[in-house]
Amino acid sequence: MKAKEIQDLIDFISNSGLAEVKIETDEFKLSIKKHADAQAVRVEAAAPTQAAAPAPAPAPVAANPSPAAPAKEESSNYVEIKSPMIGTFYRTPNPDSDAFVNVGDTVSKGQTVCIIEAMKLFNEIESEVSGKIVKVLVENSQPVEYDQPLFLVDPAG
Amino acid sequence: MYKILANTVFLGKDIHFMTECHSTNDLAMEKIKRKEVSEGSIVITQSQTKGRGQRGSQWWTEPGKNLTFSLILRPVFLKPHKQFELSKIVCLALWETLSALDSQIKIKWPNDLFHQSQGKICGVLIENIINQQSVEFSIMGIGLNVNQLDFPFPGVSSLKKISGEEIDLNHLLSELVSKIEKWYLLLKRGDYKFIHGQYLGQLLYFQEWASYNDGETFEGKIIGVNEEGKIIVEKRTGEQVAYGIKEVKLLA
Repeated sequence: MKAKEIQDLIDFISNSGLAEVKIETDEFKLSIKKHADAQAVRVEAAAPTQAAAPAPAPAPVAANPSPAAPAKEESSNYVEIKSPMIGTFYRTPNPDSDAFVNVGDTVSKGQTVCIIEAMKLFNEIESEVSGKIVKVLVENSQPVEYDQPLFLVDPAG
Repeated sequence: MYKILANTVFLGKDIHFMTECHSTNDLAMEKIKRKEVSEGSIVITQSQTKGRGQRGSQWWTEPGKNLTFSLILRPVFLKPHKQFELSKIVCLALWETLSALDSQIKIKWPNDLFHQSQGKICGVLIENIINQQSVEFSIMGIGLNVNQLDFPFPGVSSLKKISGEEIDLNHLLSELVSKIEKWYLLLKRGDYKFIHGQYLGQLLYFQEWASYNDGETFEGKIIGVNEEGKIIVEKRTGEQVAYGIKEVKLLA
């Protein structure tokens, strides 16, 4: 795959609603992950035994993003607050207090929205957007994965 | 009561002393939000009335006898998923300070200091403020039993109970904070491999068989700690399992 093609692909993905794209052919393996303001790109050569296979690589690339389009449409006005780490999700500062935020509350950038605990380290998660909480996507005290959406925020709310 | 630390470069130059407070971690968090503290600030009290251990559990201490303080750091160079490094460095600083007093003191995973025949002498409660990219603030809450002799439950001890000697709290604080500074600078420099090796080296029951319970009692040995901070335990069968907090209990 040529550098220009990779660049075009990154541009396409950064303008789409996709958070992560993985493409694998006989020739190469490409993994692009979108963060809030950074992109990580990894291109790996395939195993030497497969190097001879002359597959026309870029073809599946163009076809790939289309299935994700409806999902983008559905929540296009909303922004997700995602988990920056693996851990346990808590909505309250301690077991007998009120939730940091509830549906309908307005949050501002930098405001604490939840706690994620991992191996006895407790992390207050700051919102990176301002807006209205539309949905809480995880139940209190449930495990969460890296990059898992936690809240849906309406930035216009 | 506590003097500004003279033996450090940038930690402990701003000390907020309270004769009594509910929890130094809570107070540190409030002070961060009011922008009254910065990297290296210490919130310390003689008497903590609502000290916290793990979520919901209490840390009990006799007024004026122990070190109960919170140190504020800004490890913005650290990605959120690398935060277990903070546990490692604070434990190593505690271990280095305390093992000079008694060689039987080890790190008990994930972040307690433990005397092999007397029990727990120190607990750490780390609370961070993080965003998607980095750890913005870290509050390292340390409860170290120093001169207290009576404890309401077994399996807990203090430095005086172990050594028989009264220890000067101010001197111990300054020793400890200078060690934290040393390990924090190693972390900042990116010496992950060295830190990891040292942490494993001082870990109680590392590469030693002991009894555990994960629902069933079994014999296992800790063979590693992964990036998330989970311990990897090998069973007699050769099976290797990664355990988080509360997923496994050390029996003896």
